[in-house]
Amino acid sequence: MPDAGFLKDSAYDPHSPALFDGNSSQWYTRAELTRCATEFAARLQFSRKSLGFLFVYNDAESLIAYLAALQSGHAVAMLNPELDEGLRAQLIARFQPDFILGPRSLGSQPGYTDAESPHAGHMLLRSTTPNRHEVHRDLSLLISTSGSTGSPKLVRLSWRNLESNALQIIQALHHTEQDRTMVTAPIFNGYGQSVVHTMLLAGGSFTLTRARVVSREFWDAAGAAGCNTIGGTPFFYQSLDRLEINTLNVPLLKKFVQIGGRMPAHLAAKFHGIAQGRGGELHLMYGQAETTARISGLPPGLLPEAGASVGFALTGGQLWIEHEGRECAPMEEGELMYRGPNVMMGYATEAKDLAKGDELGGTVATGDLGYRDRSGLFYITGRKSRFVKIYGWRVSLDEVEQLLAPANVAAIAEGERLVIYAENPGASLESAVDELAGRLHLHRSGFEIRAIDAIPRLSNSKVDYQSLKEACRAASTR
Amino acid sequence: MNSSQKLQAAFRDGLALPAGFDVVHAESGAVRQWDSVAHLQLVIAIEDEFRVRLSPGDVIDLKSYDAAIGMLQRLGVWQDA
Repeated sequence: MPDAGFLKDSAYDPHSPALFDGNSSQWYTRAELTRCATEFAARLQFSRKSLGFLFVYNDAESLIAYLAALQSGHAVAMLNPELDEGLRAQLIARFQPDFILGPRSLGSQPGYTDAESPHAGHMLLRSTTPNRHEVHRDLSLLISTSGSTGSPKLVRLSWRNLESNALQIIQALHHTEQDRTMVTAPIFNGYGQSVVHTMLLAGGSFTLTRARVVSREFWDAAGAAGCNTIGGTPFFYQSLDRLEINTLNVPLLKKFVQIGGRMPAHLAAKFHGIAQGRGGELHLMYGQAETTARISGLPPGLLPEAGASVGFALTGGQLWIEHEGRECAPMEEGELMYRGPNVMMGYATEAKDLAKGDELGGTVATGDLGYRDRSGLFYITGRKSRFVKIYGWRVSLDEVEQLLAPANVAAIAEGERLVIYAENPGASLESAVDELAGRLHLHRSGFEIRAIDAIPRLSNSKVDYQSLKEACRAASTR
Repeated sequence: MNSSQKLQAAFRDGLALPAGFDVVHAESGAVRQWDSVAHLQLVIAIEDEFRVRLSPGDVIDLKSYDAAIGMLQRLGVWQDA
């Protein structure tokens, strides 16, 4: 197994810029980032491979802690520091991490002692009973399948997964040392992480800021860093559309990347035109945490005509469509299957799963439904698995139902909205959903409550989501 | 509804604020719910209530209740009660 670490064995100029912290307006060269990570890593030399929970904001201190934990050979999960306190406590109790790093505001945790973080704003906590669980030697990163609900279902990724997917992305996007990008998503999110990984391995640079995308501070940081590449979810492009890119001080920006659900056709066409006008290009990409981050990309030359497609598998990967165990012919609908070096080792839902090795052998069923056209382009038509993307965030429908218990509801996805069916919706469900949206930091407009006479059920009394979806479709076409 | 009632409603809906929230003193750095999604929802809510279109500069500088009043005054759609 090669040693984990994005900065090791690098052929890049150590004095080249690597990170711009927009919060402090400070640049870090590769050499400085390496030195900071190595200093921090000195605090993380434990007798055994350990599990760390890192509650991170988009700033240099958090990134340095992450790089330090990885290069120390530990396995880490990056988590939302604003995760609801109850959900956070549940996650900690379930996986019993050996160390926890987070902002001071996190407060002390039972069963942990303060191990003195080298960063003033952070605290580093060490379990009083560490290493109760074995951590597999290949495990590097854990990503929650539904970060906002604090899902305890984590994707297990190896260093090989992280490195191979970053290299695949670099090749698809032609990234070089000249690329300077903005990180538009939190680094506790798989997409945000992939941007960081990719730029570190490409020898380019990236900007982290805690400012939100719709703010003067965010775009000032992008301008100050000389940002020439940017990527984001469809919601990011919707925001950028409202801000009008030419009014922002980012004249060098010309390479655009889109991920996190299908972009509306008019926006894809518009940003394709904007990118071309600036001498650059728009790359539409598709992926999921189960494949580290990304699976496929649409070559920009095929835009705007093929804007509804997710393109071809990244180099080294293979995509195909399967239905009931057999490969589908072109235009036939089925589930998208993917094979590649970036396919996760498996899931972890409890601490003992951390000891597991690779369970998938490089092949994953994506849970997405779609087809391949006659030219080999892939298209997504729906989802088989129980997730919805709200403003680019992946949310588990089952967990939303559980969080609304004891209310008897059935949740389904309709486009980018989460529709909650209830037999007797009233003011109490209304306020429960308001509260849940607040707890999960998801805008309330992503949720809709609808009344239904009777929630359809299968003979085993489980909810019949297929019938519910059909009822939903019928209602919306009426 | 007068202008200030309309603007308060737009803030409450757009930012998904709980009833009883001190909307008049809302500032973007201090309101936890005020993220990019909420920000654009607020823009849409204000545009719907006042039947105006905010410029890109106004969209990005909409950082407080008072800032919104300033913009609506400049657009000539704000009426003091």
